[in-house]
Amino acid sequence: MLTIPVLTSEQLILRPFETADVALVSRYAADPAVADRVSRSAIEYQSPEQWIDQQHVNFEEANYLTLAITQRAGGQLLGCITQTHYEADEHAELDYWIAKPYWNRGYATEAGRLMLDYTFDCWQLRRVFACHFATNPASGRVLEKLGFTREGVLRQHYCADNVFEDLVYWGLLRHEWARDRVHRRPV
Amino acid sequence: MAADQHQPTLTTSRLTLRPFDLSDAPAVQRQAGDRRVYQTTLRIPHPYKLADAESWLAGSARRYAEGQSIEFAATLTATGELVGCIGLEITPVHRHAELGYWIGPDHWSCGYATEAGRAILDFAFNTLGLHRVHVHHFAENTASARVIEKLGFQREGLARQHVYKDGQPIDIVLYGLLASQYMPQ
Ligand SMILES: CC(C)(COP(=O)(O)OP(=O)(O)OC[C@H]1O[C@@H](n2cnc3c(N)ncnc32)[C@H](O)[C@@H]1OP(=O)(O)O)[C@@H](O)C(=O)NCCC(=O)NCCS
Ligand SMILES: CC(C)(COP(=O)(O)OP(=O)(O)OC[C@H]1O[C@@H](n2cnc3c(N)ncnc32)[C@H](O)[C@@H]1OP(=O)(O)O)[C@@H](O)C(=O)NCCC(=O)NCCS
Repeated sequence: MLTIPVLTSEQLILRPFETADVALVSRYAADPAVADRVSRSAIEYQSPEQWIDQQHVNFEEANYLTLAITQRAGGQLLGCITQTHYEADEHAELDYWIAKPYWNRGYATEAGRLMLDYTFDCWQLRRVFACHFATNPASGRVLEKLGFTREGVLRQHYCADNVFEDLVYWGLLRHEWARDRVHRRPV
Repeated sequence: MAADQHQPTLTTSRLTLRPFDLSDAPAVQRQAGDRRVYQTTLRIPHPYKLADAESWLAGSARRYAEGQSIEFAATLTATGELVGCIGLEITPVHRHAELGYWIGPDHWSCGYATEAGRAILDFAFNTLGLHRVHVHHFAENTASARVIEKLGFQREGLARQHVYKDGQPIDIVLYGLLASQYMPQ
């Protein structure tokens, strides 16, 4: 059986979710600061146990990898990051959210690097893409810091509560990630 | 779209766009089975067997009834000959749809894709009341790019190496058209 990995960086530990996380996840994800900026499917689930079981099944089948973003010192849960794998096209889609009290400390970017390094190393990927609402420039900044290229804007593509949001589309190719990785590694 | 509603038939100056029928299977297989159609599309298998055409056609009415998609056989009004397929894949919550089409290679460059496309856009905005229609093509498919341009779409981006076909990464060009900017031609 494959087990979901634990990934560690300077400030963060990304680890599998546990049942004990679920109450906090639900509260964080219900905050409009997060809920209004992510697609519905990202936070909808039937029951906590199912949500977690599903993550293990999906990882084994290499469909996606979801990890809890936690503080390395103290273990505080900060957010969630997911990489959805489309095997036939050898690409994946990156999604993430950080609870509002922890914004703008570099956590999403640091978690993104860990996820990209792991999935480019372990999955057959040529490309990772990500989308965000144009009204959410912080997410675009995270992708820019991760080395993504802005590839387009799908105008009024997404309707949430009768508001049509522009969707900004970003992509990162394997060779671009590999080049950036070399630059950030002290030899 | 309610299940009891029948899919309409649309007409243009030369074409009749009608629901598919199982008896279209040989004509669909022959034309969509042409390698030149396979090469610039994503969901058409190759080789394309008669059974592939039949199973796809058998689902068309159901896909319409469920509101997922609407597919039309593009036929010549004068002779009834089937020359291609055009359709919309609809996402009701976002009030948008994706346009897709192919024309049998024997009938290329007669303006059929553009003519059918205009009728479908009119239907999408004025009958279905959609907010947006989007479409994409492989970067090298210049004929489709030309059709999309003639239909008045705006280019919105290029997803680099977004799909993988026969061992090759393919760039996808993305376009959209909003109801508010749609101008019938
Ligand atoms: C987007 C989000 C994940 C960012 O998380 P984070 O941990 O704060 O991200 P980081 O600290 O790594 O980087 C944020 C960057 O955005 C910048 N930023 C913040 N608000 C901004 C704004 N309104 N406009 C432009 N940039 C902004 C920050 O200054 C920072 O960039 P910098 O390092 O150059 O200063 C977080 O805001 C969030 O979870 N939002 C709600 C859910 C969401 O939007 N998820 C993404 C869906 S696509
Ligand atoms: C793309 C396709 C639907 C076009 O159908 P069509 O009925 O020939 O299209 P139209 O005649 O309306 O318009 C084609 C336009 O492209 C032009 N064209 C044709 N081949 C071309 C080429 N190789 N390079 C550049 N332009 C080309 C034509 O001259 C015409 O433009 P014009 O009116 O300015 O002269 C058809 O080629 C096809 O089915 N291809 C295979 C399947 C496919 O690619 N489907 C679309 C997936 S996005």
